[in-house]
Amino acid sequence: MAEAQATPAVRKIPAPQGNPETKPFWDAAQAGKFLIGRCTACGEAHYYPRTLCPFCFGAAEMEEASGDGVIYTVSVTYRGAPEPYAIGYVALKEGPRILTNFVDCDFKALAIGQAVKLKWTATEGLPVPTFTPA
Amino acid sequence: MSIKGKAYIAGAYEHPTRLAPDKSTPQLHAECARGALEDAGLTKADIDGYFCAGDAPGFGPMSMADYMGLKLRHMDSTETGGSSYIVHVGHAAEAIAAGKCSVALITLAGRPRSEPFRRGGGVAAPEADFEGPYGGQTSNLYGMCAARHMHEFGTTSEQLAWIKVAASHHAQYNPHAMLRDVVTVEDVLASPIISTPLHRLDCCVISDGGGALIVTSPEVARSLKRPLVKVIGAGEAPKGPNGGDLDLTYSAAAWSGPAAFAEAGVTPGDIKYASIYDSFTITVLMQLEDLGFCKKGEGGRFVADGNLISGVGRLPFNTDGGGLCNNHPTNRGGITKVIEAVRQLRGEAHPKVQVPSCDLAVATGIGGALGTRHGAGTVILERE
Repeated sequence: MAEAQATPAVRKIPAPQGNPETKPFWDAAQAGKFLIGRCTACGEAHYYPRTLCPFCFGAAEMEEASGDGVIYTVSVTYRGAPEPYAIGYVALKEGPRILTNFVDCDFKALAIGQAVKLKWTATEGLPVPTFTPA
Repeated sequence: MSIKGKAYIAGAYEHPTRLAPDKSTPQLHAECARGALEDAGLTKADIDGYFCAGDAPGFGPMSMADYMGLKLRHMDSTETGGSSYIVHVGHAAEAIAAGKCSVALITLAGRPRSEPFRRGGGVAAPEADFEGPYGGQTSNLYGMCAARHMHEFGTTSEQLAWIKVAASHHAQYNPHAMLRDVVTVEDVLASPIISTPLHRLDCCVISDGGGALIVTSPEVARSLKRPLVKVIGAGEAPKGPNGGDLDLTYSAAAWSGPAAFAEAGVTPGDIKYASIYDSFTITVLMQLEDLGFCKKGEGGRFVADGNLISGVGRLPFNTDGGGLCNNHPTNRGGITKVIEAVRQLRGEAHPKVQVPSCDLAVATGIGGALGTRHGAGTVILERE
């Protein structure tokens, strides 16, 4: 029973599992590089990265992104987790708006439009891209 | 081909339970099915089509048809979360119009208060590694949309609170409702923040229970003794983050709504009663805009000052108390939206909330997560 388990003191971030299609992304992540998808046909950037462009179905490749962006939206969750955390979307400088967490910051001070930068967060496996105020 | 006038909702049943520790989930489905059949004046042997979604235990329609002993010639397990059952009404009308069945059963039931939620196995979703780590839960996946709506349009927590206030005014007359106390805007704002900017009273209840609908051909409907509730329009659509080309200020109801209205040949201004899926207050506000009851960004002003209260405002909504106050069986509210619309069109809603001369209603829903991927379903129903 879930009730019988001790409540963890911190929110555990599940480790990504990866698959053959996204392996290049996670290999780069382990080297500290943040990749996004870009289509070789229409030129549009996308996220999460796919091998076929979600806009035109052309062949897509992964490229390193700047890791810079601004907060598109944010919600700070106070219930249903062992500690408060901030989830939101970042509008990357390259265009795509991506789901993420905001870390190492005062959650109450986070605001839509605020500049943020990439900060990797460790898990028990692969690291995940999160953001912190620039 | 259009479904307009090709099918009728002949039976509707809402299970009275809100806490069912001593029943099984298949049992609740079957009890709902029996209730809807009795309401319609039909028997189980009349059913030749069955529609269920992810809450149906086991192997979808195969397990449930076998459990309930249904002899079927049409089945459909389209899954769009809580909006599935609104989508199913449209699909049932399509199947009936095409001659694939003549009496369709739709069921929903579950016991989230009484048994732990079990996620399905199988292959991981493509987005799992890129979204799962961030702790998306229902409250913040809707909270993010509310935050953006406030940023772009100046929508306020007070305006969102009016949606809950209106629902509570209706729930006071529903003896089965989980929350029957009338609340104020101040009560909503004083309740704890769950995930910014949403308070506890911006969120729907968690309840056991269920419901069922019987959708039939015109011939079957006219042979019965119930008021005729005709399906005249249906629309459905999914929406997701779209590769990062994301806009959280509108929902998939911006597509399902206009499609349903176009098929019905009516406009939002014609609607007498609206069932609007209310997983959260923001869900209602977003759908009102997307269906065209007001312009995008003006939903906050539209819902304020009791405009959704029956007998008070321009657009009576969720007169059973909705998910915000009445029930939200197995965390899916779509079927109760259709059930209350049917009650209104039959003139069988509580007298205190019954809309006079209610001959045209909409039921609309969003299932899944408004902030990531969700499915919308909209049906337009007419009293004949």
